[in-house]
Amino acid sequence: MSVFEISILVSAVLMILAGCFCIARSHHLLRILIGIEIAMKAVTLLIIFAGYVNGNDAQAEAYAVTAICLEVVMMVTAAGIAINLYRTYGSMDIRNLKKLKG
Amino acid sequence: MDIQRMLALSFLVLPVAAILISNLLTGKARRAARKWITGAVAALQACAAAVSFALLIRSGAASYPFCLLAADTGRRYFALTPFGLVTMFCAGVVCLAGVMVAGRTVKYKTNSYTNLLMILLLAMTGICIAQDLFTLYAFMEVTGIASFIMIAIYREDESLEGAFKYLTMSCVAGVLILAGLAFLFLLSGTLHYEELDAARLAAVSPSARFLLYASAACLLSGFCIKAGVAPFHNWLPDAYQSADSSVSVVLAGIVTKAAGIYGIAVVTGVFSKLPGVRTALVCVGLFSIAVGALLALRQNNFKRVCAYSSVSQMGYIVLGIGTCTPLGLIGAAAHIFSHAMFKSTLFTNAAALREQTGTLRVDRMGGLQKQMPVTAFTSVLAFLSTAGIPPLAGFWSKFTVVLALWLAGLHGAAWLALLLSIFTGAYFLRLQRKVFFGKPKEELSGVHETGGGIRAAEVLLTVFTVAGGIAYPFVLAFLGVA
Amino acid sequence: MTSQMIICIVCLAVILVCVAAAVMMRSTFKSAIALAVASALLGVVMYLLGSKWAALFEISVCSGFVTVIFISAVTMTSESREEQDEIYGQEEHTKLLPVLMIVAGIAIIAVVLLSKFRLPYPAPAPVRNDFAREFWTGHKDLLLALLTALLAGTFAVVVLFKEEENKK
Repeated sequence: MSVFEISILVSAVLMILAGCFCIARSHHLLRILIGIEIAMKAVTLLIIFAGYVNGNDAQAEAYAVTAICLEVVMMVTAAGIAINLYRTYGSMDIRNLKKLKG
Repeated sequence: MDIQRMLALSFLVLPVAAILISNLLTGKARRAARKWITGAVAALQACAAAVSFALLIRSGAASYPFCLLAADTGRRYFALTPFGLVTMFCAGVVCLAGVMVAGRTVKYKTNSYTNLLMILLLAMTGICIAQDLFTLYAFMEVTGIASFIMIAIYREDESLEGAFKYLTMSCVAGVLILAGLAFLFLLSGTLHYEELDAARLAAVSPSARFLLYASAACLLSGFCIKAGVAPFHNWLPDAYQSADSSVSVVLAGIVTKAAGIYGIAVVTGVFSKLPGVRTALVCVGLFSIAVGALLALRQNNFKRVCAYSSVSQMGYIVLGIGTCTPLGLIGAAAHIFSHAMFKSTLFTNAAALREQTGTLRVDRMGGLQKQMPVTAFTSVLAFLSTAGIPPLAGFWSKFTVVLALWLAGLHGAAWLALLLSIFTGAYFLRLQRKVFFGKPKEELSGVHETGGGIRAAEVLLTVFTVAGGIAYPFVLAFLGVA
Repeated sequence: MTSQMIICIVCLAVILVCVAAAVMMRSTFKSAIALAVASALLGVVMYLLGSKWAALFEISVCSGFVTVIFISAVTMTSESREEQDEIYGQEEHTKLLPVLMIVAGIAIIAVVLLSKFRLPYPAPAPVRNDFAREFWTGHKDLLLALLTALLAGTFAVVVLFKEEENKK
């Protein structure tokens, strides 16, 4: 395996790690969304890389484009919920969300 | 155009038509008309699924492929399979029950509610007819988006919190599933169901085996998170409890199953020859049954008990899928049907209780059997079906799953599954006793039976539970013969 | 190694730095900007890997549209300076992210090199359609899923973003 392929795989895994760290440790609602975004970008990179290795470029592009569009709609919904939480509680701190015992 | 193709197209055309018609309506009777149209489409979908199921089994084919446009031959986009048709039938019935409950509980924003419900129905249909793993993922994400909006639609504090937690866990699951799909695509060059089996396992070189295992682990974990199977079940009670009554009915009844369990079934079908997949699924299933049942014993909110019960019942379905045998899959499909019916009944009862008593706290209710007889009767029947008492549907589905486990050689797992169903009886017995039997409380003296849509939904779902139980041996005979 | 690959590796390194900065920064606004920079560079990497259309979507949609959404969300929900310091001043633990990433990176590289892991290479000369023809002829089901998702997205905006006049 060449340096190039190792570097892509390693960066994708590190980005997923950074994204999960961000989701798990953040207190601000929008930062959690940023963590989700980072992780999804890493996975989009993995899909394109899979197509590059495989030879099936165009199919991987189709999958990646769909993944990007779905990610955008998800972010719009998430931002909407976060803004409504701000309007309810007056703050974006996730530690305010204690009503459900979970 | 033969009848099978017409039915297959109707699955896709009907929800879209409902959205178009209900948005083009004007006039005073809009609100009620929208709910009637949505309910009619859900009922039609259920009927079409049942008829398609019968036709497909009779024709003896394994699946019925179709495309939207007549010119698209060659590439099989969509296909109807028996497992998918059972899920679509349940989706139709549960959405119908949801609309009936919504007739009494949804007073404003009905336009958004009905449109979102139709989008949800279309997305779940898409999951069941997809023939490509990535299409399955795409429709699953759409189901998720529609459910988040439906949970958060009235913007109460609890609903927004539940929706946000569900969203975060769902996105983590999405990342895991996409990672698994990327690895699988790298190895096999295709994600189509038909092309996966032959090309994949033989051609994987030993040095790349690790990627195959990583792909299986990521995919199964992601779908288990979406299905609410323990230990990934943290979002489930919050999401079910905080949603509006009619949304809870649809969520608990079908959405978790269509989005998560169907994915687990498909992925297990792809990876069934890998060692360790079967053991992992059986362990996860047993763990889920135990955790769900134990946690349900301590809850004080009616909906929360039902939510943890869902976690437990998902374990049964995962057990059925984990045996990797046709009988196990039949048991899983049967449990999807019976769980959809009895869980929707329980959440409809929760809607009735909430509407009449104003609370869902179990310690504030008591002795409601005389005042709400229909609710009590349907609730007790749902409980009996959950516990697996013959001749209700729940008995047959659990029996099939345990039998499949036994026949597959997993005797220990079969015994454990039987023993753990005692816990199922325990928590529901506690719930029924506290809510419906016992001494009536004075502050509840004005409570009377709920009417209209909620009562009709309860009765309809109970009829399905009983009819499913009675008809199950005949359906099995039909499957065996055809 | 061709110059393309060298540019790719440099871009990937900068992306990792931007991502770590986005996680560790105090201000959410600057995190969103760091994320936008990372998206743009990821688009460049995708272009160099041969996927021109995916690169276009990544740069225009992720780096553009999503950043606009984040910045408008941050602006709509900004809190006062004291509240921010009180809430987010306690996030000292984020400083351990770069250490974690470097350690994990070294560990993964060591594992990959030691286990002689090889990627499977494809059979020679698979058909290479261009993206447009592949998507429109081979993946109509994805198109249906996308349309449904966009429809659901419009409802997200309609339902969630409207101000309530009287909260019921």
